[in-house]
Amino acid sequence: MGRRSTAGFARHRLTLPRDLATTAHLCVLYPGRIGARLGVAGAFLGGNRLGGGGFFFDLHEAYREGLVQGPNMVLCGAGAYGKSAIAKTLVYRSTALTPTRFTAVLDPKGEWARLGEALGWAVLRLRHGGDVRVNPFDLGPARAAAADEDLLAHRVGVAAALVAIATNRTNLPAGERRILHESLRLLTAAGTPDPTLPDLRRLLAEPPASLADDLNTTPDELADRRRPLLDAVALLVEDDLRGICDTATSVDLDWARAPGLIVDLSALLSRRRTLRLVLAAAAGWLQGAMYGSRDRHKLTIVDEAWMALEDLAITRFLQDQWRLGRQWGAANILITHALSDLRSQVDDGSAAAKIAEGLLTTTSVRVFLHQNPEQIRGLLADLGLTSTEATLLRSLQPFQALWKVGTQSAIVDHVVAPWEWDLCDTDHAMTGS
Amino acid sequence: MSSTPKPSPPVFIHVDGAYWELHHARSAASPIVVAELYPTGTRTEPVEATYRVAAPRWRLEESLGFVIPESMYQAVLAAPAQTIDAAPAAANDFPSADRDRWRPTRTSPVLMPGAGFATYGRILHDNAPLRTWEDGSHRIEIVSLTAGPAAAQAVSYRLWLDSDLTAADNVPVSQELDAEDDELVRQVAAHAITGRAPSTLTARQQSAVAAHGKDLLRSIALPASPYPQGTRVALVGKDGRPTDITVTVTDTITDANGATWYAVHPEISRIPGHPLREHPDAFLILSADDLVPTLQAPSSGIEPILSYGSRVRTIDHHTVTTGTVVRTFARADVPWYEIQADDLAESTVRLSAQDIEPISGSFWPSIDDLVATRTEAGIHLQEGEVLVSLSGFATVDAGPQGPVLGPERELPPRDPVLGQVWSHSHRVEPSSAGTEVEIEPL
Repeated sequence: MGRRSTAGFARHRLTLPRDLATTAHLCVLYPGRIGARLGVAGAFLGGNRLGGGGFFFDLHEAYREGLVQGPNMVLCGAGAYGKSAIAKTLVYRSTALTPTRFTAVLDPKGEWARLGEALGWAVLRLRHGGDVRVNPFDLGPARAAAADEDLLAHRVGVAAALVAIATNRTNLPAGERRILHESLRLLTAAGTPDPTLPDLRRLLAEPPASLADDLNTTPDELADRRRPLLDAVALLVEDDLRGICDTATSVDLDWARAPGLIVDLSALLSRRRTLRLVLAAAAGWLQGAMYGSRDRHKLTIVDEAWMALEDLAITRFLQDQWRLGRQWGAANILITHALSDLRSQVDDGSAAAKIAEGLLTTTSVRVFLHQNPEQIRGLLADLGLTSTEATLLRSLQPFQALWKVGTQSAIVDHVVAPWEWDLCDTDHAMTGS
Repeated sequence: MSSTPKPSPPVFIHVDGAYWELHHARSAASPIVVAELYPTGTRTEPVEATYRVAAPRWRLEESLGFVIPESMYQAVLAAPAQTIDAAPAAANDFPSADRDRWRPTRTSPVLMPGAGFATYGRILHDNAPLRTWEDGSHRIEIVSLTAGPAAAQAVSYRLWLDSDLTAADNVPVSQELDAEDDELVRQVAAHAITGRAPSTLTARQQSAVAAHGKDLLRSIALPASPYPQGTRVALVGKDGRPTDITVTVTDTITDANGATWYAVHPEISRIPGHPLREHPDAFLILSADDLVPTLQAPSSGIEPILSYGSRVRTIDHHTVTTGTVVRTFARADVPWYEIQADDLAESTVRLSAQDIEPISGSFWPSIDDLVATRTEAGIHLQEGEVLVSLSGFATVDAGPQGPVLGPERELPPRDPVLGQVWSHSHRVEPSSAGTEVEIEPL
């Protein structure tokens, strides 16, 4: 052998590149950033690439243990990287560990029905002019448990959101909101336990004199002021929500025992405006029915949440629900595609964008799947990712995700068992399976 | 500074509020398995085990009171062995109050290297024993037969007495025996009840054997001829070996030549739709030469596609353990079943055939019989259904006025009483109550 120069070695120190180390030691090198493990609580979801061992998670458990400030989670990533399957395995495996929890899924694409049927959940297929109806003002068993003022506030919130969406406004002026408030108060006082949208329409069409008195106005002035509201509610009843939310609830659900519910909105997919309205109405109905019930944990999942988040009124409504739901043991999961796509649907910097981003940035649990390079900068700035984490998102493979649970991070190789594919696959239509 | 992170265990089993970790420990003799129980929680600091036991596989199963399936055991053995502080103690028991509490259920998540995520029920299903004998709360599993030196082989078995895993062991048996031989079950039972020195048994095991051992041995003893009423017998095939058609002796008859005949009632008649289900007194008369006492499971009428009334057990469903098939659907190449749980308060669920184990089938002589029974029960046709009878099957398609039953396609003919073809001719006698049983002969 010939002599080898050592000069080359001398120039290179034996070192690892910055931010690369054995996973066993990362948690020591980056205390507070890389957790050794999150412990064993909740459903197994996959392998913990940084901490080693399995990765387990449950939203209620994480909140109970103080890992997160609020029981809310967003799951986002580019299409075909497995976010829907990850959400479904989380739900499927959690059912065995939390058998008393009630889970509701708002499913705009009809991809959760098979899982719901396997779990014995009710599957409501809402369609325009259909025979399954939900009354967004229906408060179910909560009617007996919650204070009158709280129930009225909830109904007013739902009605205001629906009218705002229907009239393409972000918010209702105080005058219109007050009319809705006093109208719903009158309807409830008249002995209607769960007023409906048609009830509200009738009252607005022929407002009683007492309503003008309650609003400190004259009947003539009220007739002018209530006109936009009447038109909006009439449109809802006769067109947008016909056969969906235009009578009393037709679903006989045992709220005390029912394990879960899928609200399949896929029949409305081609009617985007109706879909948004029904999303808000169904979310309001679910929240109302669960209102005040403290004896069961609740989990509401909104799939394809970008459809909701592109509308300020729904976003604000969801934000209110998240804030209120915590005291009733309600947790929430939003599933959406890449956040930059969301941003492209609203005017960057507008109130809608700010509220949508606010909802996401205040979410305690954020799960990121693969993101395209153009999305990375926004994530870095808005969602508090480190530069390494943001860069990493580009190279995540399908079913790999970066979990940010409060202050802890984990990179998870998600695992879907062979027999779970029948329940989790979202490609039935493409594959014919 | 943090200590070196604990290596991931070869096997991890998640139970309610805790988890088991199974390791492999170095030992000069048989392999030792270490089982440690830890409380669950989101804590990241080291957590102390609340229980720890180290023993060979079968002793460990006896101690913990739950099965370590073969694939799980092999995963433990394949992992690097750890050093344990002390040799395993003599037989001891996981505290009885904790045996139920920390025992994995079918839904318990399990992690194994190479296998990813599974459930305990799924692993049990994939590692089914060669044979199971059951009688009420007593059960024997023949786990495996392993060739040994000379003319011997070893049988691995488990015994449950009063629904508790009482014994698990290996015992040498004759090489002539296979898993289907009833004699193998008898030898295993004898070993478990009387073959082990009392000093090797814990107080719990001794107590269980004392309470139930005699009952068990009596229930599997070979009956003397002529077989008494109630004896379970199997029909003998052309090859002289027992078939899986089982019947129950209802009477003994001696003919003028002194030959013995038996009146028997088919065990398959218990399943829904069978023409003798409502005629417990009806019987067949068979020669003693065609029958042999059996410990095998009763004829179950299980077909590749189950139909209305079939009984199933789910592999790892979180609410439904056992239930009844209400509807059958064809999806891709796997049937799906709508199942009503035995707990009628539970909703029906729809599960793939790969998520259930059949317990027993149904026996509908024709599609018309099946549709009539379903209609009476308020089970109406739904699009996508498949209806299966003994003679044929039909699908339910969409029609202008609703679901429509398609044309029936024939299946190979089978015996209208036994559910499958048996080589000997036979006929059904009417019941003693005088009720006529109309059965079309094969």
